[in-house]
Order: sequence, then C-alpha cells, then structure tokens
Amino acid sequence: MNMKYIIIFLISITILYSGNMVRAEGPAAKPASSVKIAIEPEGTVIPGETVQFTVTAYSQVDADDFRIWAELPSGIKFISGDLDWSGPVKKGEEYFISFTLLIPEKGTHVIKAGARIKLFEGTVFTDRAFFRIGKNIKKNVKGKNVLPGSFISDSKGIVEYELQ
Amino acid sequence: MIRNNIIIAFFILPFLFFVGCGGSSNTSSNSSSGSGQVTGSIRYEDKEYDQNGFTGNSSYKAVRYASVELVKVNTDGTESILASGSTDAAGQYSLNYSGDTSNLKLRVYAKTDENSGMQIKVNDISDNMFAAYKQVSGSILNIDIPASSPAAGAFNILDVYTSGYRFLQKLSGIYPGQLNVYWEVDNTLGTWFCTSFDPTWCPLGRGAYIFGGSSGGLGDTDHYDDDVLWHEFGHFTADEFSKDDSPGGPHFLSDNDLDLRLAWSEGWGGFFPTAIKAWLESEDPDLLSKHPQTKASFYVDTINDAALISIDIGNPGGLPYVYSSNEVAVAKVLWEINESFGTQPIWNILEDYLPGIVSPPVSMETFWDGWLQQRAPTPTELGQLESIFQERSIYYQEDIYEVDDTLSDAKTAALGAGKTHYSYKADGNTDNDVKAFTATAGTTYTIETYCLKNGADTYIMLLDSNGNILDFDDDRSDNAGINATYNNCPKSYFMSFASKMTFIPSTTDTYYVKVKTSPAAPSSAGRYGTYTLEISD
Ligand SMILES: [Zn+2]
Repeated sequence: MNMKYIIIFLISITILYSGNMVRAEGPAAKPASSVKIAIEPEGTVIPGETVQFTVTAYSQVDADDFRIWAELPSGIKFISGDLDWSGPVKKGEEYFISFTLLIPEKGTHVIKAGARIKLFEGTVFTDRAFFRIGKNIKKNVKGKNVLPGSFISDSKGIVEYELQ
Repeated sequence: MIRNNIIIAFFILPFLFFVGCGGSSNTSSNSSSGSGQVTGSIRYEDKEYDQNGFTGNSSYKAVRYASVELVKVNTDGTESILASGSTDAAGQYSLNYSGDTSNLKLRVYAKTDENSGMQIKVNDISDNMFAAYKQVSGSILNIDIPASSPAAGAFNILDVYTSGYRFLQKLSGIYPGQLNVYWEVDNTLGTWFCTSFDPTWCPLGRGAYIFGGSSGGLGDTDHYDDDVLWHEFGHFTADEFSKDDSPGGPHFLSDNDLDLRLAWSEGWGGFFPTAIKAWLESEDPDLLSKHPQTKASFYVDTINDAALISIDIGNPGGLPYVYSSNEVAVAKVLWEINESFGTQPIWNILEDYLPGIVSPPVSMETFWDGWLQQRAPTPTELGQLESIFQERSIYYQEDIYEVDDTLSDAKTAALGAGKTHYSYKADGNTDNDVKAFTATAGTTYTIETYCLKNGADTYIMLLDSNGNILDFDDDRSDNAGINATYNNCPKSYFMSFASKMTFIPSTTDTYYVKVKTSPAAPSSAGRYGTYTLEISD
C-alpha cells in the first residue's frame, strides 16, 4: 500500500482547525462537511507529458470507515499510483493518494476526486474536488436582462428566462 | 378544496371569459386592441431526495403566491404591463386585461406577491430578480419550469421559503418581514445568512446567499437542498424574531468545543429543517421534496447529486455529538423536546424570552433558563427535560456533591482522584463547589480543574480554615488540554479556561478549595459547565 500517512500535525492545519483559535467571524455559514479534500498536480500540467496528482483529505472526526478516491475520465492514461484507499482515520490528520497520468495532447478532461466518511446510523460526510485539463467548454445559459416591471422597486432589474 | 379550485380555474374561468367578452378571445390574434383574460397554472420541477442524495425522481409542484404579469412587448422592444396578479396556493392565476392583444407574454417572478403577506424574493448575484416567461398563445396558458431551466432553482428556493413563512405564521401568528435571497447558477460565493452588508460575504446586504455550483457544474449547489435552505431560514427567523449572539464563521458538525453562542445558533439552524418537515409531514406532505421513507429528522446536503452531509439529527449516535458546545447535540435536544412537547413552547422561548436577555449571551443555557421561566415545569416535566439534555451529556442539574457551597458544607476531597462537578444550582444562584482537604506542612499540593465541557470556565480559590483566601487562579498558564488530550480528556477549546495552582502549606491543617464559574468568563463560555476537580500531592 502506497498510502502515506502523515502523523505530523501540520502547523498550518493546527492553526486553522484547533479549538483554541479565535474563530473567524463571518456570516452564519452552512455546516461544513467533516472531511475536506483537494486535488493538485505536482508542477505544470503539459499536454503529452506525464504528471503526478495528489488527492489530499483532511478529517475533522475519528472514523473507521473512510474512503478516498479519484475517477479518471476516458482518454487519460493511468501510469502508476493509487486511485482508491480506504481505512480508518483520525481527527486532525491528513491522508492522501498519489498517481501519475499521461496528459492527452488535446481535449477537455476532468479528474474527479472524492472522500467519504461513514459514521453511526447513516451519517455520511463527503467532499468532492476536481481538476480540469483543457479549457472550460461549458456555456452558461444567460438570462435576458429586461427593464424593471411595474412593482420592481428594490431590485436592480429582472433577469428572465423564456420557457417553451 | 384545492383540487376543486383547479377544476374551476381550468374549465369555468375560460368559459366565463368567452361569455363575458364575446369576441376577441384569441390573445395571439393580430387584432390591435381588445380585452380578455389569461388563466392557467404555473409549476416548477422539484427534485426528490433521500438520505443518500437526489433519487433521480422529480415532480411538478405549484409555484405558490408568486407575482405574475401579463406583458405586451411593443414593436420598439419596450414593454407595457397589461395586468398583474399572483398565483394561488395551487399555482393558479387569472389575469384580466384590456389593450393590444398581440405579442403578449406571461411572466412569473421568483417573488411572493405582496397581497400574500409574504415578502420573499429571489435575485441573482447582480441583484436582478428572477423571472420566467412564456409567449401567450390563447386564453389558457400553463407554465412548467423544468429543473433544467437556469431559473428553476429560484422557484424551488421560493417554494421552500414559502413553507418557511407559513410555518412561522403558525408559530408566531405573523409572517416574518422581508427575506431577500441571492442565488444563481454557478454562484460560488457561498451559502449563509447575512444579517447586514459586508463587502466580502454579503455584497448585496442582509439576506440568504445560496451556492449555485461552480465552473463546469461540478461545484456545490444548494438551490435544491431544502434542508440547507431551511437551515439558513432558521438563521433568518432567529434574526427576525429572536436574538442570536453567534459570532458566525465556519463550523463543523463534529466540533464539540464550539463557542456556546455559535453552537446554539447552528443547533437551531440544524433543528429548524427537521421541525418544518415534521410539520409539513402532518399538514401537507405533498409539499415536501424528501422521499416518503426518509425521516423528517434527516439533514441532507448534496453535492453532484450525492450526499455531502447526511445525518439523522434524531439519532446521530454518541461522540462527537455531545455537549451544549456541539451543534448536533443542540439540534438533537431541540428535536427531542419537539417530539415530547411540540414546536410551540420552543418557539415561545425564542420569540418571547431570548430577545429580552441582555446578558448572558444567547446559548443552550439561556434556552434552558427560558424554559424554566416560561413554563415553571412540574417535577415530572423537569425530569423529562433533564434526561433529554443528559442524553447529550449536558447537565443542567445539581451534581451529587451538593449542597457544598460553604466551608461548613464542604465535602472532603480524596487526594489524587478527579471528581466531576456541574456548575449549577437549582435555585438559580451561582454555584460554589467547596472541597476540604488536610494538608501537611512542607508538602507540595496541586489543585487543578480539567475536562472542561459544556462551556465551563472555572475559577479556583484556596482558603484556610478561617476562610481567608490564600491564593486563587482563573486560567491555568500551562495550556494543558488545549491541543492534546490531558488526563484522558479529549483536547478542548474550553481547557483554555481551566485553573491550576500549587500550594505548600507552612502549617498542617484543613484547607478548602472553592470552585465557581469565572467572573471573567468570555462570551464564548457559559455558566453551567461541567468540570473535573482534582487535588493531589
Ligand atoms: Zn448555519
């Protein structure tokens, strides 16, 4: 198993998450998932070359049932490494998988990564992250801005969408 | 009743129109002027979810109490409003108009009509109000907004918050004031409720901001996550009707050493979706988006159609969901009270008791105080309540060493054995826990508190047998237990408020340790905390 298990409590993470920090003030945000992940390449992603990716997960809770994984789109060649790992996790520790891929010469490809913690009675925490290779080809369907109607007084205007 | 109204709207109203106008019934005709009526239903496509995320099933539901307009698009592109009105509880509308009957469109806003008494509007992140429209091609015009439309999310938000307003009207007797919601497809700003303008978090001022996903559609979306929407609505109700002293900011469900104010605020937010779903389940289950088999107590937040967070507030398991400093524990306590006593007494405390409290800040503790004040519970009810709190390791009750508030009532400490105390007096007075120990001249004694839970902040005093104060300590200086376990207690923010002193008596005698809640306790701590006291040599 290539899974690397980082025992050190990274200083930055300790500052960010430890209980004695002065918690950042802000609006009443929705509850955060107790697992967080990120996917990052080592260096620049160049078409036609290999690159190593690392998916890092950070758990905010002790759990026996934990999984971290990456999903490769078709067209991307897997060279080496781990795409999936499961096992127990400890609160405050980081876990990661690394893998090397051959980047296609062209096209848009999205590598999806996920982490999931299962606890008591169906409690599930997940997180997702993705890395996009190539340019974003999604077109946003934009609504049409129109002049305010009769009773619109406290909004800038209207954004409206036609229905068939 | 509703079904009958639909039938009337579909069949009778067009008939009346034909009778009444006797002529230019075809609104899409080229006649330049006339009068008529357009009627129909407006629905949006709702997505079903269960504890694993969206099920893939969907159904069309009424767009309720929304503003509608019949708009004439002039040849120069400008618009004239020929008629305006609203949909009813079944999504039915009927507009009478006179004027040019060609090139008309029917527009529905993601906004409640003012005549409904509700004041909800859903705008995009540039502060434009969402609307959907359809060309008018007859006197009956039904509009279905599919989930694929970029406006659909706005109509689900409108529907979820419409149920929220109706729930509040039931609890409070009145609707809340204005609720502005800011959302659009690909909005990455965040999901939160802002009580006021902030250039970074709340650029459009007070209101609910909702995630709409991000680049490529893979990011988090919340516009169909009814539980998340109602969580933020919970914050809105607290701001509108109650008092919320939370500093806000990021929080995890699994944190059990949260600032008590934050834990209360978020616990209320965690409870609110379960309460409204339980209510809708009995009143009007068709309005719910959850699968019928999914318990109302489940809180589900999705990402990419699967559960990002899925937790049964009514049955969350034990650790880490314990203490008044954990939002799930707060939500679970409220859920259990709701199950035993209903939502109304909970709401009465929020609306009528908490706003009058200047100090201490609003938390699970002030909610408890409110219950005692408002209900003067019988011993049976108090016992019921204590066991609900106790099940989450929250102890608003006297510990087994009471009465021990004075030197004469002091219990003798066993040296080297930590004992758990609750800072709580049933009569509402400040609790003093006094322990006696016999100390030998020249021996070093350590007196300390640790395992601080439920927002405890201790202050210890050492007294001689005449009651003279020899030493005192508020917050221990060794930082024990803050970043690592200490004496088998998990690390906790509240350990920064623990106390410790050493003592070498010059005379062998009986000495006393008095522990009380620190008079300098910060707003993040409480008054009724749990702590362990140990005297060792
Ligand atoms: Zn919240």
